[in-house]
Amino acid sequence: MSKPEALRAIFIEEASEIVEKLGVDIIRFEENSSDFDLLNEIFRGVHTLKGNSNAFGFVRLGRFIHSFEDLLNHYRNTREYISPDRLELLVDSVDVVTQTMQCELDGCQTLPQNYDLNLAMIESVIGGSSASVVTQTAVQTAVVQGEKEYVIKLTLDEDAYARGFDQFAFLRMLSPMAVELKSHIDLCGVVELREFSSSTNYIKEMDISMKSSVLESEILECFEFLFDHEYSIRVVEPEVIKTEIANEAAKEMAKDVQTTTQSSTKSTIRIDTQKLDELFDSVGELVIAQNFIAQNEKIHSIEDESILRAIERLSKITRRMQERVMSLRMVAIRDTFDKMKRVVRDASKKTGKSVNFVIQGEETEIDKTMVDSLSDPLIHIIRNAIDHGLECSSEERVADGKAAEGTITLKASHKSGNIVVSVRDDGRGINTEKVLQRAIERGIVASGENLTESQIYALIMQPGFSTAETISDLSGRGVGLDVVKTAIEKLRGRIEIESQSGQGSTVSLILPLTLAIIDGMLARCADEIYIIPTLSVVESFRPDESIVHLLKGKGEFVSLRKEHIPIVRLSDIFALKSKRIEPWEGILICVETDGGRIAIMVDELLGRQQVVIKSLGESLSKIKEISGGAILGSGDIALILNIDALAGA
Amino acid sequence: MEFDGDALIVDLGMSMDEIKELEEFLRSKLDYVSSILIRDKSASCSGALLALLASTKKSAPAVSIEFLEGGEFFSQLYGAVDWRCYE
Repeated sequence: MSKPEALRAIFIEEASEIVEKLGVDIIRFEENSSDFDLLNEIFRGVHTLKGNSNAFGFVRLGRFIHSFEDLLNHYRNTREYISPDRLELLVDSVDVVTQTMQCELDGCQTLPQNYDLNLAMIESVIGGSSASVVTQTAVQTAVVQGEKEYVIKLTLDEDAYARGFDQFAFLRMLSPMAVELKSHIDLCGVVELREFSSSTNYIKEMDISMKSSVLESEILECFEFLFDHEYSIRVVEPEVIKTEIANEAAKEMAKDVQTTTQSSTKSTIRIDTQKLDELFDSVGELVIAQNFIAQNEKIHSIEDESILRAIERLSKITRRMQERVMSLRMVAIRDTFDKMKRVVRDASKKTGKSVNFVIQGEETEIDKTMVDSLSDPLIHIIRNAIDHGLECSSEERVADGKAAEGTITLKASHKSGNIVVSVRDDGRGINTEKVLQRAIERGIVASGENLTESQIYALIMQPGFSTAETISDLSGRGVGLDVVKTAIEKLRGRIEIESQSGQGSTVSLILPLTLAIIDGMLARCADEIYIIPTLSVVESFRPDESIVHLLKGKGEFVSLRKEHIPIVRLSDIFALKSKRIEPWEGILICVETDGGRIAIMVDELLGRQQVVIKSLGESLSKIKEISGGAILGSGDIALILNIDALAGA
Repeated sequence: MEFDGDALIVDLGMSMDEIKELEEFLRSKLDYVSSILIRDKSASCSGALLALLASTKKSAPAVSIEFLEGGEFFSQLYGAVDWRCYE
């Protein structure tokens, strides 16, 4: 990656983080608009984004953020009451910042629809009270902070212009912060025209002298995309005038500085997630190699206690290392949950339904890859819950003996080694008759087919399925929930729906802890070993002959607690050469699939084990009944079954 | 930029592409240029343009470049800027 590309990538990463945090913080501030610490935090984010945008020449973004920053500054200085329509303006402005940043990155000429409107509104708010605010700010600034003289030396590399930097661009950034700005340029290094190239920087040195009342950290932000050797900054003489107001504001400044210091001294390091994945893969290989040693009979036959002890120690270290590397990928689900506040807010406004949004278990940790992929499914489910789950009006709820305000609960928890993320509404519940009727009308199921409640609920996840009478902006087109299903399946998870008429519904996303390791049940069929994801396993048993039935044209079934479960023989699916045995001579593993429960018939159960998932080659990946492979401790290769595909086989 | 026979008139706020165009023009037509004038001194400036003017002056000291020779300029955008062209 070239230097400009690398710097652009850093800008995108940092700016995206700031914008994402802004989106969350502004909703938190909307909930509690007297939290001025939070407003200060928002201000700091906006300020940093402004500096970065200008440094990269994103002037349209810089212009909007500049005004937005003024607006935030106005409120943090005056601490005046912020009316709901002004709060709305703050929230909308964050949207415009997000959209404008995307425009700048995509190089779009057209600005977001609300850009001019929001800018005009911000300017009218600031303009309306600018005289008093400017005066107040100016007085505070003059009295509180005093002027400092900064001496800055710019020694840009020869390729600075090619990287998008220019000496005058820095002056342009410093100018608004300066009371007095002077600079001296050394042009002695400029070569004659025959050797000259405009893309090369020949200005070896530029000395800048600046009188300003802003903090050094703010000035440093202008140069943060330069290499360390390309600039230096020195404060000549700080001057602080102590007054009564000064104490108050100085505390504020100290907080700012403290925050900056804390963040700069925090011992963290940015790592490309790809590198983390590679490290994880390597540790996976190590685990396999360690298992091979631990289970190798020849090694075990060596009757030397020191060797066995060393193997035991290696096993412990490997396990600890695997846990630690895994923990590197784990992040709290809090940020994703916080983002949903905005979804609820917007959906509530659009539908006109009053919603109480409850978040639980936000500290639950989940694989980073999964967190990134979880946002879209959650948005769909939450919108659907508000639009279709909750009653149309508060009157209807009150008439049913419920609180006027609907409640949506978003919860994350650990359950049996998995992560469960659930969205619960206390609305009217799913009307199973209506769902079934619509499925029959659409030809998804045949009329008269006997479906269990969970099978009926699963129908709403079918592509194009919707019981909504009208299509709204939020849902009703039937494209949402099948997208959720596909997204969750990609994460090797599954969806469970529970509903009670008049009481509400719960959609639970059951996800593995990580995508790189699977907790599997190992089973043998003929000479092959297969892995069934434990997440889907309900139970395993050797059936009694009396509960196995052969239905003409439909195959073998096992009757389990009044439910007839189809038996799927792995030996038939994979055409394995083995002696055909009866179901009561083998083992049945009952698993939950999209199409209901099935009983997978195998010869023998080998146990439960965590395995590192390996992708299959191109030819094997076409076999839909297999989702991946794994190398076992013995060195044998086992195939991971795609149980949903088995149900349709 | 405009060339009226012997005086070259350029904008201070030239883009990098325009500066490269000017560089090519000067390299091939420097003998025909007797002076370089700057239009709109309140516009944005760049280090690349200033360096190109300095390079031109170094290559052809007889060419009059009033802006460069003045050794300083002041604008709302940049404050007071001065420079030194020769060792």
